[in-house]
Amino acid sequence: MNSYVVKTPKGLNSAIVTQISEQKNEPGWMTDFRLRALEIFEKKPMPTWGADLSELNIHDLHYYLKPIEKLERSWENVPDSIKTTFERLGIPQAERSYLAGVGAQYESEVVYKSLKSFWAQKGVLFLDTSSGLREYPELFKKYFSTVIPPHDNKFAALNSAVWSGGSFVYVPASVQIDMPLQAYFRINAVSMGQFERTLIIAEPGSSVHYVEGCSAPVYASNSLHSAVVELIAHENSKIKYTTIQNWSTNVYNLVTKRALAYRNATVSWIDGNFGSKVTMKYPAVILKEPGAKAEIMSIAVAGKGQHQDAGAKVIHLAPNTSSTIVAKSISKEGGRSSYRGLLKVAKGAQKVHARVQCDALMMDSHSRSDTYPTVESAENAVDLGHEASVSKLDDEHLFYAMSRGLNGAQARAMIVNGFIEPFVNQLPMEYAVEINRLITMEMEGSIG
Amino acid sequence: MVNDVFPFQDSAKINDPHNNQLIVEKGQKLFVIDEQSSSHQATEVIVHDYAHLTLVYDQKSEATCLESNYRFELGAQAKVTLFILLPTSEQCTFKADIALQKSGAEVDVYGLYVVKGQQKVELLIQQRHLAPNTRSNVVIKGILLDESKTSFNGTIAIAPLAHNSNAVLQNKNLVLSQAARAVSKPCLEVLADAVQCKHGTAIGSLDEEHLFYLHARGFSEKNAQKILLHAFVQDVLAHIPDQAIKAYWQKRVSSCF
Amino acid sequence: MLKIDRLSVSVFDSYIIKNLTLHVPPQSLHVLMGPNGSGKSTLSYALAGHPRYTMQAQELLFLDQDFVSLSPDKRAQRGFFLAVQNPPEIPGVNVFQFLKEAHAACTGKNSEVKKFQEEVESYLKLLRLDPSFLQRSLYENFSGGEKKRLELLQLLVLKPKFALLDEIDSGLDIDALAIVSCAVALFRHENPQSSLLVITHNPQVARLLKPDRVHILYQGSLACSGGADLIDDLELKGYDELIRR
Repeated sequence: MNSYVVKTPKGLNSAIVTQISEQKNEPGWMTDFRLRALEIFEKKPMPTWGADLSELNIHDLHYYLKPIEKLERSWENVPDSIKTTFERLGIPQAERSYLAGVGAQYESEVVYKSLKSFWAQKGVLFLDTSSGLREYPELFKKYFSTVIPPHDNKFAALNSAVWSGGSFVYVPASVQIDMPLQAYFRINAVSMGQFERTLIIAEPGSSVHYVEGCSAPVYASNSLHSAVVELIAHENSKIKYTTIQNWSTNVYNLVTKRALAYRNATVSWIDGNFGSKVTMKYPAVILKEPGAKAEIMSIAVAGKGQHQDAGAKVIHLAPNTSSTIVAKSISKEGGRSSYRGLLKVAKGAQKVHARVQCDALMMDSHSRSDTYPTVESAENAVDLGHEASVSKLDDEHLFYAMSRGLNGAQARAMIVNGFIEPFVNQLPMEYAVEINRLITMEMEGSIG
Repeated sequence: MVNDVFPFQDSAKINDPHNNQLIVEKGQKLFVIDEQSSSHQATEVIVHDYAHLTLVYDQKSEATCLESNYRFELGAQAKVTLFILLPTSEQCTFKADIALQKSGAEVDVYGLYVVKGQQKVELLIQQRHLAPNTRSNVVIKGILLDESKTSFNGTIAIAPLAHNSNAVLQNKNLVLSQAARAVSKPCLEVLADAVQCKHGTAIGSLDEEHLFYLHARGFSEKNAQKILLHAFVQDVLAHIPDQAIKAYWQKRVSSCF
Repeated sequence: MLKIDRLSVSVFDSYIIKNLTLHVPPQSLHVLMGPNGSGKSTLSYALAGHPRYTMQAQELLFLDQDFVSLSPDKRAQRGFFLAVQNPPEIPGVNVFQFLKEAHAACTGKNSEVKKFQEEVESYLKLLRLDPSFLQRSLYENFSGGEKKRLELLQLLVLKPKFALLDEIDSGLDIDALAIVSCAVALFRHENPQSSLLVITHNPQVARLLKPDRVHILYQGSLACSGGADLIDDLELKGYDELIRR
């Protein structure tokens, strides 16, 4: 295992930001962009709403680590519980070490190379973000930071200053990519992830499904993960972005994700939050032109010591647009799950149809569930509805499942898997299987 | 800016000069009508064990700006039925903080706002379940015309010891003009598990399918709209115990078209 | 098979079943009838182990083993099956997956998916259900007839040693009743050692099933028991007169 390391000292200042930019050989405009973002970050106060960030000391972190530096553990030091989880979830052997933060290169080069040439034939670009900047500078500059500018919020400013890693995806007009883009990047995205910056552009008539993350718990040495994801869906295109997050429970996961949807375009966010100590994430879609559609499906499981503060935002700027938000959450063993959402119809956006459905399951009396939605309309010819419910597992359902021979834990697992079925249905098969197994394990662990 | 929309909910505060107190003694049954004469009013209502209170807040004051703060404390098996009928003033803020403090307490709140011209209404309601076996049901309907603006903030808060609580919150808004604007923020904060909580909110206009059906049965456009408006407010007005007040509000709804 | 000796069932200190004694031997089919409110469903839920009910009995044996202390899943694993009157809608739980899991839990065998599917589909034909039925969510948006048929499908797939069918016929039309009687006949044919206790209101259905014994439950106690001719008696006289006798 290689052990050379590039690591900036703790804390953040313009010298460190400049060093990051130099390490990556970036053009002058990007360096300036980073430095301006740093100023904005320093000026903005911490958010006073959302989850409790008081224990996050932003000055006590390293802001740049070359990927290989993260591989600090040896397999012997990986906790047994994690090893068992990998087994139970059926994670392929080749992936286990990498996910556990141990060395070993994932033998994906072969797979990746053949996919790369397949995409190249169609004109599809799928690279890490730094390579995207380097190899396609004009295209990159045209779209970069147009959806989420640095002043959007404090953590978007932070990401703008120190971003590293992430994906740059460009799909030419009328190209439909059938298989989800994941493969190589499943591992890659998971191990880096600290300040990823992802940019996806779908030209008119194209479609793409991007999948990131992993259901197995991922060891992360660094406790702050602040990513930015920008999607641009041009006329008649479709972008589906699936995330499964199961960061270790020392991580603050603060993400800004937003999409612009143009005429008749559809953007779907499929968001699964299982891990981290604190997650604050509200995937958003701005429906800019008539016929645009947003679908946001999110689930959050908050266990002991966790706060999942997740939700969705849809802003209807144009008439004849529609959106659906389905948010499901499970709180157990003292965990807290909060839904925070915005459904907004601007002036001029007539004939809008929007539905929000939030369902929360409380598994015990120590846990907490919150819902904080806002529904706002500046137009009248609209149909906006929001509904939320909080309940525990229905005793009648449990009895019925047990009367068919399932024991307590099996009955709970079956019903909870049924509860999240609309989400799991949207995932590629192998993820769906892993999530079901993950829930089964979580139910066995929880106090019934 | 889209990021302005997530402030924490404020709890209703009583911090103004006109303080009233209403006490309903143990086992007592009381019916009260409050038309609010002053521009600012704060009222503390204590409903003791087994008491029943029906309170109709039927705003009549002509003042430009009206504010009313209510705080309710319910004892064991106490029951409160509250009607909130607004507005008369140009700008009005109504806050109700309802604490179900002992087991068996129940509250039903029926609210209606019919807003015209440049009127602005702000309505804040908190249903706080602090004891087990408590029930709350809040149904608020709004009809918005002209250039009116309304903002509804509702919170259901269930404390850890409030097992077997049942809480429902509904806010539905019919926006009948293009310039009117409605905002609704219903919130849930649940810290106990054996509960049933639901909330729902809707903003929209009269259903076109329903309008068509009525036209096809021979109703004129105006009559069809009136029928649907009345249907919309039915589950609030039907419960009003005072016939004169009920009739007044039915007329007010009719006059929307 | 099922030996109940002086069973009382209560909910929050209120007694619904009082001192009931009932024996259902192996290979037999008994029918239990009684007016509304007599306690028939209470008896079924209590025997299945529903936590709402408290049981006290001189003796309650299933397959000669004590039953009272067992949780519902353990009772099911021993071979006790209850077809409920109003099955719950459990969204997102796939019918086929549910059947497979229940089958594995009750029989202790994990059969191969394809083989299991074929077996299930053969029963679907008898029950006049489309194979697409298996992909639906458990009881979600099911008609009354479909609900009963899924309970019967479980009876045939799980092959219990003892089945208690609580008003499996209620709300069904004549064609559907014929299906019920066929399904019960097939079950008995495939599981000759098993017994059934069928709860019904309907004398015609009771007769169709050709019971070995008929019991009448009235206000929580067994008012009388007899052969199949008790059904004719009941039809002629009605509950009140029959019980007065």
